[in-house]
Amino acid sequence: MTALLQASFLTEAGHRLSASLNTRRVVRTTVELAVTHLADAAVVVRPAHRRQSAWTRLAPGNQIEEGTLRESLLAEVPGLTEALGGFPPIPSRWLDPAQAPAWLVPASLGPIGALLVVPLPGNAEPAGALILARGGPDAVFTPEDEMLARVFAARAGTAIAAAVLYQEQVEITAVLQADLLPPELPRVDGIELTGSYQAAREALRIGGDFYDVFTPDDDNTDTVIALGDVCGTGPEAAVLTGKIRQTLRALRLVGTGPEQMLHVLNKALQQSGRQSRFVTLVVGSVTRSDHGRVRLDLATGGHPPPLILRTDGTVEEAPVSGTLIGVLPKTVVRPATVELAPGELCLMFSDGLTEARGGPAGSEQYGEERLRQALSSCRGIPGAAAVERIRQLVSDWSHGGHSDDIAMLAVRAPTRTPLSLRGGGAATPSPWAIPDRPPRPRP
Amino acid sequence: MTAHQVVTRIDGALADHYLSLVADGDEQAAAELVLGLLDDGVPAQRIIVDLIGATQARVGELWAANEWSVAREHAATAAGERALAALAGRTPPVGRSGRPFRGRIALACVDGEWHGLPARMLAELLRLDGWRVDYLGASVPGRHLITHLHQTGPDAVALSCMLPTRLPRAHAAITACRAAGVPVIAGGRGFGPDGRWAQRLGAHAWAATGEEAVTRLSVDWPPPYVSDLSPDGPNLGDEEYTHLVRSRPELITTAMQRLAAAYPEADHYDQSQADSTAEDLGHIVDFLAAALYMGEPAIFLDFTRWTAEVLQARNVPPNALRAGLHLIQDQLSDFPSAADLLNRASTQIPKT
Repeated sequence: MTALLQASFLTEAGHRLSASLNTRRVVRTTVELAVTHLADAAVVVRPAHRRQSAWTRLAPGNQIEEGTLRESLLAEVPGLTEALGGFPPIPSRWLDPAQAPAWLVPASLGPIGALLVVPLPGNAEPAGALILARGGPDAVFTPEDEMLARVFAARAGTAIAAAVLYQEQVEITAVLQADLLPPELPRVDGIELTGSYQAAREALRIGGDFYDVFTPDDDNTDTVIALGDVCGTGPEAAVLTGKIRQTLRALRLVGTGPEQMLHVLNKALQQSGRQSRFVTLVVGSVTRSDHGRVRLDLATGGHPPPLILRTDGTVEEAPVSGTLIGVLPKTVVRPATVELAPGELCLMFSDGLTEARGGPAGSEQYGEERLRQALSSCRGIPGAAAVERIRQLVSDWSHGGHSDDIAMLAVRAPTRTPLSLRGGGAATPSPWAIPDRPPRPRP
Repeated sequence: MTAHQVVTRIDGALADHYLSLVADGDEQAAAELVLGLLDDGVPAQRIIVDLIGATQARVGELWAANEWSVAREHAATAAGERALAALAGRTPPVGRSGRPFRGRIALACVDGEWHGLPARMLAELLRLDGWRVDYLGASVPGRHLITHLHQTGPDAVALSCMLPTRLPRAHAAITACRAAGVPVIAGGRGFGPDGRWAQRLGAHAWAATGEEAVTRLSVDWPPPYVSDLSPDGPNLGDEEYTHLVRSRPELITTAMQRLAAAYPEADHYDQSQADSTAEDLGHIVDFLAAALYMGEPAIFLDFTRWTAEVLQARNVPPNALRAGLHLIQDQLSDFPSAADLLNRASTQIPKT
């Protein structure tokens, strides 16, 4: 290989190896590059983990293959144990290709003529070893080839090690995050529940808004719903939402009602000693009442009151109010009860929704009036469709650039399907009027 | 009560019945119908494509023809999603020992793209074909997509884009996927007739339908690596595009201020009508920007032609659209391509 070709190979290698932070992909790229430029077949063997070594190989006429092998088998490949142990590579001429085990490369390569095993240096410990094989009786790895392979292996090793480090961090984050993500909503008989959560754009998938639902248990027949907003965004806020959700869950288990929950939570937050940590919250106890109606006993602390969509399309504010939770020694809560007829919906939301900035001028807040109109247009449609529609309208408003978390939780009394439809009878006329506004263009 | 009739084929009558169920937002009945078909032996793929997918296309037409309201369209779409989810819950992934065997694929709708159902249907078709599918959802921000790629290292990204206005963002996403070494298959009408813009944006493949995507991904995937280092990559967007995107807020605000003078009916608009008009002006700017970005006048001309038809179905005179185009054009006199495009669009609108 000429110096120019070598340089362009190493440039391409650097570019492609640095592109991914995924271990598997970096390893696959390593064998691809090695087979294109250095050898007929290439195998990457990773250090043993629980007595198993992961390998990835590419040989002529094959796709990339992946698998694991027992640690005890590693010693069968000349020079491999040394390379994985972090020792300097043994020159190719000292490695007897005839001793390479049959499993190392597919038979399609034919007999191995020359073998080279180089370490993939990593972070203080090897990231693995690269095995290169050339077929044919006259094949050799010249000292220049070996030098190039070592330079390439150094780059590949660094990329693999960085990817390993990243994967470890990702796994830790995923574990910590799992409990902080919004829950999958349970199915509750006779009550339609829909949740939606969008973390602020710049953040992780977790943030300061949250919602939760506690289903009926042996001692409680009601379903408890909660939606709240911790001051701040990002992981710090998310950790506090986890604590609040757990507190609410415990309070629910001992049969505490929404109003009392807020009082207890207020005290608990005050005593936790963290400064300037407060939350706004709406809690509701949901029960089924007669004729398919749904009853909500609501209490809020410093939170925008839920909006109620009535059958005729009017939108009302739930008559609840209360002070911030976690700021004052004593919080004031004025609870209220709301009844939903079949098809009616109660929407709880965080202020990220009404404060989303956008519109034609780019800086106007979405505002409660627009939210009311949007909700009104959701008359008669299922909760999931209503929440999705509002989410979409707000996203269009802010051109997807929302800078705060947005949480929504909708409770709807399900409509009962007209029996005529089940048997394929004539459909009832649509309850939805055609809006008389100009439509949104959408091809 | 009538005896259960085994249905083995999706015909017009069945499709009409299903449409009537989703038309009423009757999620449960739609799901039951779909599961019944599955029990009768209709292949899941046929139900997804010929019933759920075909119905969704009709829903779109009904909305465009002003026979359905937006709310009703949303309800029908939600019912379709529910039916699809019910079907997905019933069909185990195929493959050796019931495990995916083809590889892993990440599926996402481009940032700002909210039409999730087509992508969800594709997710299901791919799963049935033996892929492990991560469906990332509607409107996936570019950096969330890339984070996912680094975390999971999939064998392909399937990117859905139904609206040409999202093409600049699709371009950013595709470029980032390529940089992360993951090949991209593009899908959806947003990539133009025959997907002609997908390749310009760097996608490795394009598929018109979910079934085509499944077929394309089942052979010769991943495509051979092609270096991105070549200097003659597509050069998209110019200073007119940049200006248009940057000055979007002022363009619309100014147009709204001058609206009543250009189109007297607008004098009596209430807040909601004014909001809608501002939104429509926004669409004009967005489609114009996409057309300039791609250097494709058709993107804008198709949009205005389509809008004129939709407005006609709603008895809105074509003059309203023409007034909107002029209000934007008047502010773009220093930008020849944009002004020319607006002018061409305006002349193709019917006179009355």
